Amino acid sequence: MTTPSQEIAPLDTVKRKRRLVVNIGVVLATFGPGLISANAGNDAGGILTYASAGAQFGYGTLFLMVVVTIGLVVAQEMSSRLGVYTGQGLGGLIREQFSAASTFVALLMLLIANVALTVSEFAGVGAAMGILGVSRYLSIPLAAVLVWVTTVLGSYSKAERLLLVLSLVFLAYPVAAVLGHPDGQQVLENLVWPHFLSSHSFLVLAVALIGTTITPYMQFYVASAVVDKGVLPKDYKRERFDTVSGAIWSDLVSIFIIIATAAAIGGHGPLATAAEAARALRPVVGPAAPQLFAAGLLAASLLAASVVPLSTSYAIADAIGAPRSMSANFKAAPLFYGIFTLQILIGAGVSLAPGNLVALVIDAQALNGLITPILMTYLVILTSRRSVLGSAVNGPRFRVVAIVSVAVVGALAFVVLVQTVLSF
Amino acid sequence: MRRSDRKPAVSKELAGELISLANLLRRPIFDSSGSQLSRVADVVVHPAGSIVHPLVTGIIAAIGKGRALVDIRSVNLQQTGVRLSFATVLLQAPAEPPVGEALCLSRDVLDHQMVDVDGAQIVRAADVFLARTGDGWVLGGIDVGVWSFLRRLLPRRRSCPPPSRFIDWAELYALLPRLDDGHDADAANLAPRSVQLAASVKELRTLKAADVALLLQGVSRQHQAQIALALQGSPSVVAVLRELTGPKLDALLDELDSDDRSRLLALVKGEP
Repeated sequence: MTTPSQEIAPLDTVKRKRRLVVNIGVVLATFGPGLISANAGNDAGGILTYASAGAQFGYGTLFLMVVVTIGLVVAQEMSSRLGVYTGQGLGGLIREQFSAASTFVALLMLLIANVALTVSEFAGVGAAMGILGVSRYLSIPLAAVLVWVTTVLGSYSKAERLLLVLSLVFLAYPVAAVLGHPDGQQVLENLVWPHFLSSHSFLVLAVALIGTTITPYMQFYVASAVVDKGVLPKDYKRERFDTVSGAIWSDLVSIFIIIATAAAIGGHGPLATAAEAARALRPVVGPAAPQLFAAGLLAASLLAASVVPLSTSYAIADAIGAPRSMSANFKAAPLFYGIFTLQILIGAGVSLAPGNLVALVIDAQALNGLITPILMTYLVILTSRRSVLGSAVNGPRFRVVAIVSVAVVGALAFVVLVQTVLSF
Repeated sequence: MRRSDRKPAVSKELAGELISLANLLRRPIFDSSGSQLSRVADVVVHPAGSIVHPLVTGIIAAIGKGRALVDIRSVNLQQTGVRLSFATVLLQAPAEPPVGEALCLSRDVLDHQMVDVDGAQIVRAADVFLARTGDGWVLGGIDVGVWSFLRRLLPRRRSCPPPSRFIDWAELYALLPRLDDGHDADAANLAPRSVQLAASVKELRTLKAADVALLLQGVSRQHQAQIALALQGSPSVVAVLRELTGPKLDALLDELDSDDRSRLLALVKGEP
């Protein structure tokens, strides 16, 4: 069988050049959204958790990040494949493929995970504004009102690009990691050699790293995004490249955050404030590091504080079958807006409670980490059903890799859960 | 008046005895002597011609990992289970769930999306109600209430639960899932299945472009294609398809067979 490209007659030089330009355009168009979404994935929770890993354990969590990257690639690939081949979001798919009780469990887990994420986003706002000298009791309520009003009134998309550009400040971490003169041998050793501590704090941080990297919300987002892009099964190879490269790129940035922070303040114990994390950027931006870090953290937090609750509302309303549209009014879509509003209220409310904001963020990521293996199990089951994916069903090798990934993540989460319960 | 503006209710025609499908599934099937043989796996209806509420024609019984199709004329259907009018031996021959024009209500309708034509919105069936009429048991409609979904998590009651947001089958346009379990996901699999009432399709074609756009936004690519195909005579759907970006239109058209694809593309391009 010949493909369309094989049927094309030999090209002359001009045509070849033109085709090269077109191909570069295609590659950029393909790679671009992956890069952007990967960067957007590094939200307040991510930045502060990776920075805390570097501050508390130096390079000690790098091997774990390699393992987590494999889990992320597997999870994102499965979500993306489900979206492309079924043309449907995960919420609806779960409802159609599982019993009412299993659907309820999945939705409840997603809701809990995303409420925890929303809490960490508002805590991120408080921490960022704290660096600039603004009290969290002023900044968080203001941010909650701002996010709710701009999202519900539909003007959020105008601010979205500006926030996305501001959050690019974290791309300075790879440079900071190099300029911070990290111990190259130690970095390499910790990347390739398994390194685990049996302490409770290490295990909690390990689960937080899993939760902030393989975020349950992201799996729902990826499936919906490929449906929205109109990606077809015949174009899946290109989409898979985007998904896998985006996941790897995202985790590379995360690894650089750990290395940069470890080089700057590693081994000094848990991160106490966001301002400490900003010190890692000093080799790149000098004395302006705290202000730039605060701007990036604020932008990343505000971005996710709208997107995460919104995606929860879409997924739950889709699965329940309730109206779900930003163009509908509150009366026509009460469940959709109700869930969105509830998340904003809880997110802002909990992050206003007295206590360390960085610790709150890490606890929220650890909760996500406990839920990640549960939702990954749904992904493995769905992608293993021929009735759902037809010829794109998991092959035997991929299925083994997927099951092992879920088992490793699940085992870590289970140990932390048992330790936490026993410590009470 | 749109559905969202009024209180839905079961019509007088269906006001007799009701059975909730969600409450019926996995209920026991007894033989004529009262021994339990198996459990209810699904209920089969056969939509035909101009019949508004399709007749229930059979029950699918789960026997181990297999299935057996039992004719509705041989059973006494109740909310608490099914009693057969014959002996065990007749249930031994397994049967595949029917395909073609038959609808298996658990497989094809329960938990699936459909178009509420009167309300111009996409709904998801949280429950399916069978109604007893003079002609026998019929498919009455669906319940789309959130409470109906949550009720399925609770212990089941012996009587039929009352519908919370009932939509009559006559006001629905069903979006059918793919037919076979071993399908090739690469292939378009939208063989026409004449289960839609002409009236609901006709009403669907009167929807405004904004309503059609919202409907298409809320469903999967495969169902977008089904709706577009059903509405191909409507100017609204042509207007909406013209607004779709290249990849999205390609994705929708890719779900259709070549004849339907060409016909729809010609309409979008304004060709005669």
